Parts: sequence; C-alpha cells; structure tokens
Amino acid sequence: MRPIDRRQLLSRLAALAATAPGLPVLRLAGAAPSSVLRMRIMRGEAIPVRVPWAERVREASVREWARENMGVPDLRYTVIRLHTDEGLTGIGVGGSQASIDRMVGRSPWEYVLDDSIGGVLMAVYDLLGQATGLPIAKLLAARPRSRIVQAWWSLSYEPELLASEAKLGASLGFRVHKVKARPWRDPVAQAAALCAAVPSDYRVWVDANFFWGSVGRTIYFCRKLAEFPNYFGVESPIARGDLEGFRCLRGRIPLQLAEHLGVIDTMTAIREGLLEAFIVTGPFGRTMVRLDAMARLFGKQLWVENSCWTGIGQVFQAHQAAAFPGVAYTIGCAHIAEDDLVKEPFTMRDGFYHLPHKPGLGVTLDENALDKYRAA
Amino acid sequence: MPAAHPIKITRAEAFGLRIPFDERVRENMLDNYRRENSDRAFYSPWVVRIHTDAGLSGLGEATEDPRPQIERLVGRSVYDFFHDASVGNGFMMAVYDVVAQAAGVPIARLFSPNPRRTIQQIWWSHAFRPRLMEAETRRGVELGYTVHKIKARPYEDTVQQVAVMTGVVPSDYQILIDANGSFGSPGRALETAKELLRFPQVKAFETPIPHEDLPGYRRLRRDLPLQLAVHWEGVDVRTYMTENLCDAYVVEDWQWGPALAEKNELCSLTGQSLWVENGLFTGISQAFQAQCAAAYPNIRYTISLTHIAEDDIVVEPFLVEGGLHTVSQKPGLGVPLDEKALEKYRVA
Repeated sequence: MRPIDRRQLLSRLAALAATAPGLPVLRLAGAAPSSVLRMRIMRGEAIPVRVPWAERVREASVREWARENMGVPDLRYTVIRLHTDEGLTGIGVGGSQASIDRMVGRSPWEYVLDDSIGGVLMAVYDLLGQATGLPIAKLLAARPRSRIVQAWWSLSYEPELLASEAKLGASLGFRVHKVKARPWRDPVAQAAALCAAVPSDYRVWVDANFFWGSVGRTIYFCRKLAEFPNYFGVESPIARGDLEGFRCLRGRIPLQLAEHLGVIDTMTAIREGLLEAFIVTGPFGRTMVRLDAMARLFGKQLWVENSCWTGIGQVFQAHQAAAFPGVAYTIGCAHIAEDDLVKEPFTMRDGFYHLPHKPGLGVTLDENALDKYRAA
Repeated sequence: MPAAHPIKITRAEAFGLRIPFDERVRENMLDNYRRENSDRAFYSPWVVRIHTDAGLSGLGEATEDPRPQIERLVGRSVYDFFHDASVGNGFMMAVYDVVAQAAGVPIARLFSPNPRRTIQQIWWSHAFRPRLMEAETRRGVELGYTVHKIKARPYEDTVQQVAVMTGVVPSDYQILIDANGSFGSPGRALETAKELLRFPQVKAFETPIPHEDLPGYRRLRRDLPLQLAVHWEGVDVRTYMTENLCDAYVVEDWQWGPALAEKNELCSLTGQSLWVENGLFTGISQAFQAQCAAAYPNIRYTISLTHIAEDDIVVEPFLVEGGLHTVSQKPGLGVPLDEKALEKYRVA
C-alpha cells in the first residue's frame, strides 16, 4: 500500500468526520480549515486576450496611437487563473505561464509581496483572501479604507470627443480625470471644451508624457491650464531624467507636479521638494509597501496605474489604494475597452469607488467574455 | 466555490512574568540601574497564547498587560487580526504564529517571498565593571557572537572597558558603543571616539549625544570617523533620511508587522539600516524578531537581552555560530514554550 502523508491523512479524516462526528480526533480534522491543510497551487493558466477599444473612441484611439508611431488596434494582455487543491480559483492580469509553472505544488503564502511574478500576485492574493475570508485590502492592512478615488482617463482626443468623454465620466460618478496632452492638440482648447462639459468639482490633471519638452513650454501651458479651476496637476511635462529641468520648475508652476518613479532619483526629488506626486506603474508586492511608507513619511502622493486595463486590475488597484493610504488616486482605463472582462460593474458614487466586501478580489471573471476575446 | 474557513480563536491566555537577572550579572545590573535611579531587579514580560478551533496555538510576548484584549479576540477569526497592531504586540505575534502554522510556512514567509536563512544577532552588555565585561565578552565569543553592543556610562571608563574586551576577542570582533546620550556634547563624543580609535574593533556609536541635539548630530555626521546610529523613535526620521545624518536606526518601539515593514522599506530608499531590539526579554520575541530580520533585508542586527535573564522560557536554545543565527524553518514561530519555566516565573 502506498504510504499517505499528513496532508492526505487530514483530508481523509475531514471527510470521515462528516459521517462520524462523535470521535474527537475526527471532529478536530473536520474543523480544520482548508488553509490548515496547507493549500497548494495545482495548476494555472496565463490566457492571452485581445480586447478592441470601445466603439465610441475606437477610431480616435487607434489614430492617436498611430501618431506616436504605435499600432495599437486593441488591448492585449494576459488573464491569469490559479487553481488550488482546495478547489479555489484566483484571478489576476499580467504575468507569464513560466511564472505560474514554477509555483505549482507551492503554497500561495510563499509569494506574499513577491514583486517578481507580475500580475500573478493578484491571483495569489485572491486565493489567500478567499481562503482566509478577507478582502484583499484587509489582507494587506488591518484597517483599509472602504472607498477610494478612481480617476477617469482619456487619450489626447480632439476637444469635442474629449468633452464628450469627460461628460460620460462625470455622469458615471467620476470626479477626477487624467487627460493626455500631445503636440498635435492644443491643450488649452481641450481644457476649454472639457471644462464646459463637467461640474465644478470635477478635477483634471494633464499628462504630457515628456512631449512638452522644455521648461518654458511647461510653464506656459501650466499657467494657461491653471486658469481653468478644474485643472490641478501635470504629469511628466519635460524630458525623462531632466533633473535640472525639474529644479527650474520648482515653485514656478501653479499645478501639482507628478512624475513616474525612477525618472528622477526618488530621494533627490524628496530632498529638493521637486514633486508633489509619484506615478506608480508597478510592481504590486513589496514595492507598494515601500512607496506607501515613502509617501506618508514625506507627505507625497501616489497616483497608481499599475494595472488599469481590465476590471480585474482596476479592482486590484482599488484594494491596494484602500490598504495603502499614500495612494491618492488610482487610474482606470478599462472604460475605453469594449469589455472589462468581469461581471460586476465598476460603479463610482460621488467620485468614489466602494470596495467589495467579499473575500479575495471580490469580482468574478466573465468566462463568456474571456472566451470571446481569447487570442488564438 | 468552497467557502472560506476562518480559524476561530477559542481561548486566549496572558501570563505576567518576573524573570530575575542571571546570577553572573545580577549584582552589576542592579548597581547600574540604581546609578541610573532605577530599582530594577528583574524583567517583567507578558507571555500570551491563543488557542484555535483548528487545534493550533500561537505564542507572543507583550510589553504591557495584554489581558484587556482577550475578550475581543475570543470567538473571532484569527485572520480578522492579521497585521492588526491594536491587539497589542504580544497577541499580534501570536496571530502571526497561528497564521503561519496554518499556512505551513515560517513566519518570515508571511513578510517576504525570499527571506534570509541566517541573521546577525549581536551580544549585549551593560556598562559592566571591567572584570565582568571581560568575562561577558569571553562568553559572547565562546557562544559564537562576533558583534557586541555595550553601554557607555559616565560611571565607568569606556576606554578601559574596551581595552579589556579587546584583550579577549579576535581582531574581526566588532564593538558598538551605546552611550544613550551620555557623552553629552559632540565635542566630548569626538574626543572619546579619538581615544577609542586605537581599538580597531570599535565600529560605531549609538546615540552618543541626546537626540534633541540636531546641530550636534550634523557635526558628528561630518566629523565622527565611526558609524553612527540613532533611535528611530527618538529622532525626526524625515530629517535624518533627507540629510543622511546616520548609518542606522535602532528600533525599540516593539511595533511589529506593517510598522517594521515600513521602516525596512524606507531604509531601502536611503541605504540606511536597522538595528532592531524589539524582542528583548524572552526567547519568544527573540525568535519572532529573528523571523522579521530574515524577512527584512535592511535589518542589519538584532539585539536581545535573554542572556542577561535567568531563563528565556523557551525549550530550544538560541544558537549563534560565526555571528549568525539560523532562523527556524518550522511552520510558525518555531519555538516551543518551556511550560515549567512559565510556571516558575509566573506572577500574574
């Protein structure tokens, strides 16, 4: 007879306990939670998908990317599913099959805060949340916030479409909007159209992605945009790594200045007071603990867009923002895709997204949508 | 989908202990505390234990009476208190112990995907009289320690103390001198450093002058030819980080979990390190501290006082070899409580 290990023994005792509750040892095994039985990852899939842009912005979005010499006819990413021997399934977005394959047979607990596995970490947290009965935010922090501020997002559309998108965002409950600025559009004309379409408490920041290039142009545009009361911030106005440029901008622009982490040395930015906010694009594990601690100690904000393209990633970002008070805004882009791949709508109320209370991620993968958009 | 299975806390216990100083150092410890206007003859930790419906129990050590927390714990899922410092440092530790046991991983794995196997634990002595200092140093070396933190006090000659120590240690032994502010002024600290520089084993000053003396620390940072450590809880960390005013922060606030994780991560940004002495009085907090140090790479040293006490109330000895302690790989905390010792030293 093949010897059985402790894990198998406990499983069999647990099954027996249901039929023979009188025996103390069996009662104990029956009470033992799945995690006591040392949940293991049994298999997982990284499923490539392609989701077209939402019809209302499709043509304009493709054109905008093309102007930057990028062919982006649709959104391409990988949906992650992890399955455990206890019958749980965790979902995430981003990451590789190779990462998943290395995790087979291991406990999800071994990957807590692991920056190296990309979006597979979302699925790990989803599993742990389900196993422990905790929403992911509660798994990360004892007292997470119940609601967070998610920002609406637009490419640098022509003014009419931008205004229409802003109006849609406002009607859906969003109160913060991140707008791309590009040299082929007049950001002031865009601002005028946008601001005419939204309520007075609707706030906007502009992301130039380095296209403004010079300190002079940045000061000019920021002063012009600050004439619109809705505008409060500017992201990445000048060339990547232009430390002297940021020093020149200090105290000279009437908007909050944000830059991506790593573009200039973080401690230099803090020491010299160069930035009000850092843009966070990843990773999700220990790095988030570090950035949150940094933001709170030094009075900076984190504007997080480390997983913005799907409903899965958006809700995961929301859990992070709830757990890490240094996060001021999360940025979502799933609304410009044809589908966000989850069943539950991402509902905003008065500028806030209220976190799901269910264990784990708290949203359900839409299997029909997954099948529809699965890449060959 | 299978339902979640919370592990319910069925019972929580707290034991107040009084553990006398070990006989070999007792008299000198009492003398030193009296010289500092403290009448302290023993350590008074609290040990806590939680029991669960899963048959698992978790251990912790608290600095303050944890009994008021018991009522809110019992009947709740252990996961409800995950990372929750409001239950007190002892029960927080016990919660981590149970969660890690249930997960089948050592506690360090709850805090890091790739913890270290070994950590650097350092030996500790008060400002003992030279003969005892020599004996204690010899003992530390024999037990495998390679780094030694000593107190510097006005009532003992620090140079003389170091002289006797260096007579019995190898050349690569490291001595850290903690003045707790008693050098008083940067000038006096620099004078003392100058005298001590003839002993290559002397590597660092901890809190040489009062923490409030920020200009003094700026001067020391510029002129002191030794590493400089200050207490995290004693300084404005923002200033010390932005001006790079020290090499290391001593952590003695007994805050575990997210609070310690944040300190570690902030040091990742600045390149500074942590010397953690949260787990002082029993083998429980010493083992927990070791798990944390394994998880957080910016913890350079851990410090405990268990060797100063008569008993560490755990069954297994805390072993050090070549200056390093190998962290338990057993699920949870990995150290069993010595029930007999618990009964012997229990007072509440």
